[in-house]
Amino acid sequence: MDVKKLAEEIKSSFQEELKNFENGNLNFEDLKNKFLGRKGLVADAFSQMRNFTDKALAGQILNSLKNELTEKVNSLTENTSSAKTKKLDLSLPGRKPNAGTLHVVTETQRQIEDIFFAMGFEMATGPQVETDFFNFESLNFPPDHPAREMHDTFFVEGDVLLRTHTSNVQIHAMKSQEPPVRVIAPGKCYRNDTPDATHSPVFQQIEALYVDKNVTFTELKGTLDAFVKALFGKATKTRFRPSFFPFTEPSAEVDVTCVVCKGKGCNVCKQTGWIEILGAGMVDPNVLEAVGYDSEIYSGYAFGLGIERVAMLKYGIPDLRLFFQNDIRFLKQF
Amino acid sequence: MKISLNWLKSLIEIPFDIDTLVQKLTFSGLEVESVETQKPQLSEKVVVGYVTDRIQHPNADKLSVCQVDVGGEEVLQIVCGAPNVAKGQKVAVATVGSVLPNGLKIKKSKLRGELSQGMICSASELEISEESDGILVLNEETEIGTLFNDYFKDADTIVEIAVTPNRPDVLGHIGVARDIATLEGKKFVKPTHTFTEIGKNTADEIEVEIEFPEGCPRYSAKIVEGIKVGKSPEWLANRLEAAGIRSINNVVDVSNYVMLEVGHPMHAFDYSEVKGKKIVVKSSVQGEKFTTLDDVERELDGQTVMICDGERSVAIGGIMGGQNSEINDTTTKVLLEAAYFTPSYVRKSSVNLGLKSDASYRFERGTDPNATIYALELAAKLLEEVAGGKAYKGYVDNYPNPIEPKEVKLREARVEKILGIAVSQDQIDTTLDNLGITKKSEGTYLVPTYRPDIEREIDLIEEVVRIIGYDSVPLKKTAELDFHSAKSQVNYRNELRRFMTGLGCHETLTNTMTTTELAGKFSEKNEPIILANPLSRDYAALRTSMLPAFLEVLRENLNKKSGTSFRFFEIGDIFYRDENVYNKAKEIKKAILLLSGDRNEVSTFVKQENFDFYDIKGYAESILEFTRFKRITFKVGQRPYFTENCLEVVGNGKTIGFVGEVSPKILKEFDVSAKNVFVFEFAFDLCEKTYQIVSKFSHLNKHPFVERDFAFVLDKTTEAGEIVEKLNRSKIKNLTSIKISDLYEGKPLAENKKSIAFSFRFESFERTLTDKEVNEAMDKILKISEQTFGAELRK
Repeated sequence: MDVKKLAEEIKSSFQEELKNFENGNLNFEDLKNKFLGRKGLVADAFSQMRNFTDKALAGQILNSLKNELTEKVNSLTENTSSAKTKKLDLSLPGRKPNAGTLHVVTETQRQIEDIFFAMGFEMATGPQVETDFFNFESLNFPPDHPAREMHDTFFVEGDVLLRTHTSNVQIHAMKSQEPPVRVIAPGKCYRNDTPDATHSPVFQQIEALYVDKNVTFTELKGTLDAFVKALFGKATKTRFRPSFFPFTEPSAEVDVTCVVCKGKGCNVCKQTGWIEILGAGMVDPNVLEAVGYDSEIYSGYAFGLGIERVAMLKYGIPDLRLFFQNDIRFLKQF
Repeated sequence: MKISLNWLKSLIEIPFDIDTLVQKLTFSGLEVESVETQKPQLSEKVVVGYVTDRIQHPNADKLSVCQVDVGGEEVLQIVCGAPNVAKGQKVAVATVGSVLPNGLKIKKSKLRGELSQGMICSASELEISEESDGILVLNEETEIGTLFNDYFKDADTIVEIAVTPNRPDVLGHIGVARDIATLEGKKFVKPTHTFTEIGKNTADEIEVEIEFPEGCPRYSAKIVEGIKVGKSPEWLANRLEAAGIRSINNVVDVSNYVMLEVGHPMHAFDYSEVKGKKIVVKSSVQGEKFTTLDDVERELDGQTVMICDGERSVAIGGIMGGQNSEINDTTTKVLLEAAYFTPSYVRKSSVNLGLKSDASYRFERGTDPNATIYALELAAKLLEEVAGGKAYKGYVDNYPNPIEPKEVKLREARVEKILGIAVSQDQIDTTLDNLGITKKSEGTYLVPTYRPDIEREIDLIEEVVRIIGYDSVPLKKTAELDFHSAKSQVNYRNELRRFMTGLGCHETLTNTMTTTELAGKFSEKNEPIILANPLSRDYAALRTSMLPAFLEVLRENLNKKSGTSFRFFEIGDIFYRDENVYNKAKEIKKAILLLSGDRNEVSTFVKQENFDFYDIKGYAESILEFTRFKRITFKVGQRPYFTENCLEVVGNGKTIGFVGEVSPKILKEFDVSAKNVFVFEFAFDLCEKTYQIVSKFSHLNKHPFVERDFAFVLDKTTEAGEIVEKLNRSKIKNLTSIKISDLYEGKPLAENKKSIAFSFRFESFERTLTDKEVNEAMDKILKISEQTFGAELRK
């Protein structure tokens, strides 16, 4: 067999396949494999070496063929990558997947819950439609007591009402287990208040309760302080003022460093540098006795705050009604 | 409760400024809500002037030209328009350069040709009163040239305190003074009152019987004659007004004054209207009518404390006096009542009557039963002083079972157990003693009757910490955490919420309250919960479905053109009546998803298409798969608010919810302008129970799968789902999934035909399938489809 002729045939076959490649009918890998692959035409020609008379010449010719084709194929890899690229208008916006959002009240609630979970509190729930016993009486609001005036109550019928606070969950939680109890109870509450920028007949509270041996007022102060620092930032301070809630004694209203001005004084805090956000206190012995706990052995603390109010402060939302309007432009912000 | 600082100062020395007072009160439990000073804060160029001369303005009838001495080197000429300006008056002069509260700057000017070097002011221009009649004429003794502000050096400051319901003792100035003294480490001493008594005995002229001692444990009375009813002196009227009570006449004002000082309400009857020299305290008779002194006829229940004379009712005990015996201009002799009414009775009657008064407010919180005589003393003294009253000797005091100070025990160790800090026995004793709580013996204290809130050890502990200050209790930095409650807080609610946001949905927060109509209309078969005292039509019931609120959210967003693509979701509650549980209510956790408008937010190269039914169905499938339902099926469903495009969603054999297209009729009712609105409402509680995180790994198949397609020509009425279900149930060997890859109707197919293309996947976990096996399976599929649905292979 004539090695020259064979080399020419392979070359012309390569030229042909090159056209196919350029037209897009053959891909690069196939082209390369057909000629330079382990079982390609060049390798095949080498394998016929013993059939050639002048083996030295044949080796020369085939080697130069191999080099030539290799060079051509290599140059193709460089050329093709640039030849095949199409310049895009990179300034066009991307195809953004649709992404949803959580409601800011949920988001705030989640932040609050996470802090409590980290402190070892568990979740507890209770009904929104409640009886006088759970909402008031067992929480040491005697019947016909003016303390009930602190809560404008929606009544259903008889002794059934809409809970005015999440404190009913305290009773359910304590009645269903022995101390220690360490729970948080978030949920909707109802008061007969006309809606305006700061009031809503439906609002959400979150309440924390811890009852055990040796729970003291110092611990309440320490826990609350740690909680507000976690929620509003390390520089936040707390301030406790004596107050009155029937189900706690001593009771306190708790102010924190104004979230907006950081204590310098602004419109939100009425120039005082403080904002009132929490009600707190040591669980009243009457409440412990009402659920069958021995108040000589056990003591506890409870505190609660309004979730919407925290969200308003944290995010600078001026009007409570924005939460319930669900304008998608509002929802998308969070 | 409005506290007059001047009044307080007449009872106790206050050795600090108002800011300190506010701070001390607030941090001892008497939260100061506002401080209002009656002293004006005017420019220092407003001074006291003396009108040395006044002449008629030569060019204007209504103007005067005045010469005013303001203590400076020269006498000022001021043109004044007030008709009451006159020579010899002391007046307030805004000199050149001063700025009045309304922003007016005083300049030197000429008025109709006459020089004017300032302005003589009226009370309203100085904003010290709402309206005024001409210029303000000052007291003759006022010194010329002094700052006008100083003219009010005795002006009062009013401190408004938010009194919590447990503190009736601070509903009088004396109680506040007592707290202030205690905060200063001192003991407050009540002032004593002396007055002249004439020869007649109260007891000779009045007799008091108590037939209803449960409602009225004590009734004390005194008679004062020689009264001249008239205007109260200024100091008395000012004090009442500072405390927020309108001055009426000297007798009524005295009784209000006593209430505001002592905290104990009283009542004054016109003695001439008290028939039979007799007061009888009775329970009202059901349906009895009585006209109170506000001229309203009221119907009474059967357990209201009534004050009667020998013939008729004359007052509702502790709430309001009667018109028939009220003090009038001709009254000369009064019967003063200071009684103790039981708080719960007053409260009940006040609520039933819908009538509140300053008296009922105090009685229902608990007044001091042992302060009645003290109140009468102060009243007698004041009547003598301001109305020429002459008091009869003695009192009639019906008090069959005197209420004694309570004995309350307090253990020092218990203070530490609750507070977490030790308070010394000495400090406890002194603090309590200053509050009037005396030590009877070691560990036992006597609580005065003006503190009905203190009944137990914990109440005394609160008093101690309130006075020593919450600030003095340290923060315990390391809470004693144990890990009894530590448990994984995997929580479907939060997981689902995040999943939904990943699907592009926006979470909403809608109201659980609604109208009675909507609660009824959207309730499936259960009775909704209706409120007995709704706030308004919109807040009259609890919702029975989340759909109405969602349609409202969509409507509002469409009306505001706030977007074009809406995916809203919420996890919420619905409510029904349930007579079988203690609270007569069933609360069900639901979730809802609503899709409307564009499928995608505006984005590059994405053709805008509207959401359709298959979107909501797909979302439902995704949600149920996420929730790890093992088997999800759909059945044709029906909801009154959906069109016929409605499916019942079944997960693990239970109805989870419905997907559907909201009917045009409902959209119209809710004024929703969108046409295509799709909703998936589902039982969150069932999903929550089902949800679990994947607990076990499934091996990946090492053997390749084979995919084969068939396109069937079918009758238009044949549903794709029927075929899939039939094939799934036929247990065809190695068939692991059936996908629908294309739908076609139209030419060249016949009018009543359609084509559905299926893609079948075959795989085995044991080995690679052979062509033969797959072909046999495909033959079986074809055969079943032909036999069951008349399917033909599309060529």
